Amino acid sequence: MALDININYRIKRNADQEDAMRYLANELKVFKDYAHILLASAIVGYNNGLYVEIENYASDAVQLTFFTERERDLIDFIAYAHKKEQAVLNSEEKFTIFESYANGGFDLLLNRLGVNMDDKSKNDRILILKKVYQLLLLGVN
Amino acid sequence: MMKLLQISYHNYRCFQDDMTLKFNTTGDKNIALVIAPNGGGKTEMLFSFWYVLYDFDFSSLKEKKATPYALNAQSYLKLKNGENNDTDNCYVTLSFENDGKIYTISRKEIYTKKSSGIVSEQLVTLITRDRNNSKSLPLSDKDAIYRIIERIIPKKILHGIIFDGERMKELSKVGVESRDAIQGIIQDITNEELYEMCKTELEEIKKKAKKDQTKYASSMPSCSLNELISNISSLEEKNKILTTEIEINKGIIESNTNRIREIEVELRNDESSRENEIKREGYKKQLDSANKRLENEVDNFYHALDNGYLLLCDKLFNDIESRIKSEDIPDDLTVKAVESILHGKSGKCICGHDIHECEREILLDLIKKLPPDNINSTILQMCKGSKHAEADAERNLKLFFKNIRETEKEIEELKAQITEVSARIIGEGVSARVKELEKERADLTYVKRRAAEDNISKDVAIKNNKKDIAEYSKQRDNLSKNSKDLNFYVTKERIAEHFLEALVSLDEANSKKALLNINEKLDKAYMNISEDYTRGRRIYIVQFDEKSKYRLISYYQSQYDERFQSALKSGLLETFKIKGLSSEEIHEKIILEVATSNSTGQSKINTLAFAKAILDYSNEERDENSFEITKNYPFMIDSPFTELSGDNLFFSSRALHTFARQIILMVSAKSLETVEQNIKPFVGSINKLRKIEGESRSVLE
Repeated sequence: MALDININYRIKRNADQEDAMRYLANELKVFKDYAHILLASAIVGYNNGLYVEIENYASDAVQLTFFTERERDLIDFIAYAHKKEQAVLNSEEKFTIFESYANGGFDLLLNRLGVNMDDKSKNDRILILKKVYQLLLLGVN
Repeated sequence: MMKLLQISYHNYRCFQDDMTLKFNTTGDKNIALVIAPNGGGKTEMLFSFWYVLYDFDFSSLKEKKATPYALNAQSYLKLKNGENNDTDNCYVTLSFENDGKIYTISRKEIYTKKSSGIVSEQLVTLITRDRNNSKSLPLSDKDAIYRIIERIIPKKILHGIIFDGERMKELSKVGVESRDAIQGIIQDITNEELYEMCKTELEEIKKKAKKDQTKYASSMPSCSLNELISNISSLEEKNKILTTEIEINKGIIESNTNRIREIEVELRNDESSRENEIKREGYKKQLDSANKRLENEVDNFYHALDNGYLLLCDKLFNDIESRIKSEDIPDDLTVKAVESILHGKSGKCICGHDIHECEREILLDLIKKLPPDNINSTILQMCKGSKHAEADAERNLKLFFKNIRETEKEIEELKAQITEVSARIIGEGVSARVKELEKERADLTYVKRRAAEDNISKDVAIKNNKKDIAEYSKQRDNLSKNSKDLNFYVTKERIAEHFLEALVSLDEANSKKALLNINEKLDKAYMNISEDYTRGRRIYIVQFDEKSKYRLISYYQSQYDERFQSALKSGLLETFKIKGLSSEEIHEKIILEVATSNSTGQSKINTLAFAKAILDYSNEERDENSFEITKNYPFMIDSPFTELSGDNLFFSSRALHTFARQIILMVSAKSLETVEQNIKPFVGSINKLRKIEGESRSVLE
């Protein structure tokens, strides 16, 4: 049902988070792709009130088509819950809101998962997946 | 097609007397029989083909380490006890036909007694005769001879066409030698050498382009370009060294693994440790299987995380529902409906009362809040749908996580059991030898683990270096835009890199296609010569799994089918497909899970089937445009029928003449009796060797 006013829109990311996101998706394989990382980050950001606008944009944004319909619904939900008015669902502002929560929530997510970006050899995939599980099921936000 | 014609000896190994064996094989009568008793020189004869074509390291033969030289042992001893500057010599001469030409290659070795010991010098000659019978001048340049022989019968291919008893066991082992042997054969018959040659050429072009860049940069006033190019070269060099070190570690891991297996066999054979060792091996097998299962379960969990984010959405859904409820607006109320009340003809509310000013303000405010299409109800429905999906996601995650926990627990228990049994193995009552072996085993395991850990950190270092190389290259490219010459060298390097990548892909695709083909032929060959085939036993060459690639393994079809069905039911097959695995890769994964070990007889049959598959593949007709070249080689085999019995013996002896267009078959008279009926119709020539008792020599009868 998501009101896709622009299906070609690309969800922007913070350039400073690029390395960590790539590591989580491609090397450690804790998240399937950037879309999933952004979703999880945005929800964590929303749950903790971490709305931070992006200042330094990554060159590589994520096409909206990489999000499933349900995932695009989530983008709408977050925008609506933030702005508290339905008009936002018809504007591109909803994407900016999503991007800002994702930007704010990502560092907290990374911290909660205990990912060591300085010494990656210390990261145990199974352990981190278990932390993801704890985060999801025990609602540790 | 290559066809052996004859081989002659003079004072060589156990063939002290001059002799010539002729191999008169034509058409259907394609077997040249060499009959010799045990110790009569069959193995020596096989390796003489190696020797004359490419020289041979006799010290590599397990039971011949005492005589690591080509000269007959008696002659060598006589020389050793003789005077300084005494000499003796030996030679082997082989004649063979290839594509209408006859080649005669002779390798002569002259031994001289010196005060420091015995030294030897080799002379090689090659004479060719063409269809018109014109003889060439003898060629004696070793390198030139080597190049000619390599083109006709590459060195690696000898592994695939010369089979002595020891080699046949090796091919069915799980070791570096067997895998190397199988890999060498397969790479050669799939023209791997051609790819390697092209890769080498492209690497040279890349190297030259880099040198030119460095030369250019050093002539420039700007240091940064020089520095960039130097950094790139230095990092690439570091990566080469790291890659070599990783291979060395892999070799250590492999050889330690083999030695550990040998130790385990010894421990099984020792009475004081047998029971515990068998128990430990059982636990280790279970542990391997549990580790594999854990890998799959972690992957299943990872895939189930796709909808995991929904579990974090409770606050979001609650906030949305509260927001909608707080507006106290009926779900389906639209702007149109409110406007119709405000601007209605009667100027009154639907209840009939006049609309007061404050009420008008409220209605106007309400219009502002409502979008033209009030989607409150839609949003609520979406929330409801997401909550259902959340419940499903939670259920799946809990299930997969539970599986992981249970398997981890099982792994911990098995590890504890292994530790306990290992302590019992070196406990009271065991022999000193067992304690020694167990200590060696523990040390080897430790070294293996350290090598594996070292490889992980080296892999990370290589990746980081590659990232830096990419960054420096970007900067270099930016600087090079202003210089036509530098740009040219950089572009040349890039093109060579792209060609290399394309070649690697082509090589991989070719190798994959070839291995699939060989596995098909392997199955057919095994079906024709093994009695175990009807009992459901199958053999397979591993091609996708990096750790086990080129291993020749056995499995039972019934166990495969059972595992396949269980993987289908549990959704594992679906998971594999989602991961992008092809049906062939999935097939192999299941085979590896149900692989079994072989008896000696089975190893022999496996190797015969492998030899047949390779020969069939090599001799298969291909179209002119194919990148692969058809080759036809003779097949030389020593005592293929010992340790075989029943139907295995019958089928393999009956099928032997189909293996190649020419077969040099070495058997003892006793072994021949068991298969004479099947072999005799295809025999073109017979040579008989007789062992001289009390002397280390054999003669031709």
